[in-house]
Amino acid sequence: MSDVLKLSKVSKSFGPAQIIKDLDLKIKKGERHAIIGPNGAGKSTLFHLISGHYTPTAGSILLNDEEIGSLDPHDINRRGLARSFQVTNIFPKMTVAENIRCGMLWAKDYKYSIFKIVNNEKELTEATSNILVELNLQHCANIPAGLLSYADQRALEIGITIASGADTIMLDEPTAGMSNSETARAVELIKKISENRTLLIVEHDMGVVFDLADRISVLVYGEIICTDTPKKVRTNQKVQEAYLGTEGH
Amino acid sequence: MNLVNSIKSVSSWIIIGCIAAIMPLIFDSYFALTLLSKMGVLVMFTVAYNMLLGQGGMLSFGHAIYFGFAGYVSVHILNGIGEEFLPYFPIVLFPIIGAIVGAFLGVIIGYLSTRRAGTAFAMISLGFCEMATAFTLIFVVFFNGEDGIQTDRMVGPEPFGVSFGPQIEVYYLILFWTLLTVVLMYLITKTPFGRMSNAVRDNPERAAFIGYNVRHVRWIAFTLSAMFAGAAGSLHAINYEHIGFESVSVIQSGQVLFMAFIGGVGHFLGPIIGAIGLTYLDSILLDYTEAWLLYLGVTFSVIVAFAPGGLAGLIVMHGPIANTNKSLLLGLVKPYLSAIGSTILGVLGFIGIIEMLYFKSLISKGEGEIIIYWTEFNANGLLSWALFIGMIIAGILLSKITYRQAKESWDNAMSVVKSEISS
Repeated sequence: MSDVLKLSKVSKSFGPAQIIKDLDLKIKKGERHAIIGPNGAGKSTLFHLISGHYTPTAGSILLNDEEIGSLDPHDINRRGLARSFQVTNIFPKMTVAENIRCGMLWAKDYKYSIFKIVNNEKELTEATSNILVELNLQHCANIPAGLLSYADQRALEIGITIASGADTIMLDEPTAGMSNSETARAVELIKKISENRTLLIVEHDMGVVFDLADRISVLVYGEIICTDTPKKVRTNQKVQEAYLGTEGH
Repeated sequence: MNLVNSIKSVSSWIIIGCIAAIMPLIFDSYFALTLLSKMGVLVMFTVAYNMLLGQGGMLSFGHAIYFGFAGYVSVHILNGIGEEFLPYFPIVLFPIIGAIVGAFLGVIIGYLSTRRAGTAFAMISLGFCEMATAFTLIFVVFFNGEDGIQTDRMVGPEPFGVSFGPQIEVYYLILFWTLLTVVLMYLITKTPFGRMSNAVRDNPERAAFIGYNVRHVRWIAFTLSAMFAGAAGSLHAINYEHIGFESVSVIQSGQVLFMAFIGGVGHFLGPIIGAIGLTYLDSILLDYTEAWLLYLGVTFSVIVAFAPGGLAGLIVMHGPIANTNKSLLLGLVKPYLSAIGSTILGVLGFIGIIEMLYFKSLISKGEGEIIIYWTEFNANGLLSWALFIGMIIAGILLSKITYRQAKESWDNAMSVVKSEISS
């Protein structure tokens, strides 16, 4: 299988602090790849680097063999990579349906048009309601997104991310702060939406990680100490040390 | 459903148009006619401004640049036609010239100022406005300094006998363009660009991650807003047959900001309400009081502090209640009336004090008799002061109670609405 994402020797420093150190990572097409690691390991920074929120200090990031390290977020998104956020990041004043619709406008080539009325675009309305059904949010389509429950907002967050039809999806702690039953629903949703797509996920809940992931990378202090299948990661000596080391104090 | 909605919205615009069209027949004095003309121009300008502020989330202190410069260009072209060194161009189409001027400046200044949003954007707009005002005073050849430029709109042929000499003809010209542009600006809010303009306003970070170049969205909003402001500036120049440096100044920019904000930037109708209301008060109250600007300032501050959604925001917050259960609205009437009553009491006291202060410091030469509210008061006697101060105190104390009651009854109505929605 070919690599969708390929990071080589990527570093990111903030002043004297090097958060990501010479990191190499390959994400295969169609896999579900989880990144785990203790707090402060640099997981969110890594996501910000890949999605264009930060520019790497050194190294290269290839998306489908194309360098994206220096591109802006919107350029990277247009190349088929979409992400969600750890802290819910939606359009709170807009309705739920509008949030989804905004997520697909660029991908459906509406761009900055001032000559089309969005409500009259049948295809857009249909695609929006399909995603709402997938998220199980169709009953609150016309409610301002800010009024949704936390778990529903997290689902909407994923919905905006997939609305563009991007091939590569990055989810940043999608189940953080959810109850057990909400987590179970979220995992089902993630499984469903990641079919035929490449998924890169940061997650703290190990149950979710081992349930979802085809492969896992363990990030500790800005370095990936191991990338392997869940089974092998579980028994890896270095991983155990890293986790026991941080939990030990 | 879609069809029903569009018929509904089309018919409401037609009704508004018809009302505006018969206004001069009802109020047929020259004063009313000039007032209505001014309202039309400012409605157009304020709605254009709100494309930037309300729809795009960009606070500009310099939007008069596009309004004023378009006015200057229009006046020069009118004069050129009058002196026959420019070919004839129909007056009816002059707003197009203004729109081109506005869009041209908008593209350039927008490019330079939409790199940053928030405070930086506001500061840059202020800088450009000061610069533009300085230009008008320095380049006398084009702007003629503080005097500005006179013109005569009666140039060229008179198709169908319309010379645009009489004010009534100008009013209908303004009405036509105001309706057309306001409807266009309304439709733009429904387009992909319009929706994304709101999205960028609410959450620019997320907008970038769904594929939109946030700066381009802002730039387009800026340019369109400047374009419509330019069209309004053209009409302004035709209406007054004069253009002066104040029309590009911070004062004109501040006026449009006041109108948009007091009317309510969060709703499309807000700026229209603000422009009509403030233009009316501005013309009427100027005759009654010297302190009109002070009252305007206080009103603006109060709205910013306590009702940031403006007048339209206060109306819109009752939308969910009206949609689910109209009878709940009836329950709000009494607490609202008492809240309004206590406000009026305090405001009357405040105005009394201000009027007497103005009177004593600027107008009276020792004598005390002053007419306030069609009643004679003695500004030298303690009694008048005590009365008005008493009214202020009573108004504040009563407001404390009545506002709480009004808020509670709104909260109660909303909780009923929420439970009805979720059940």
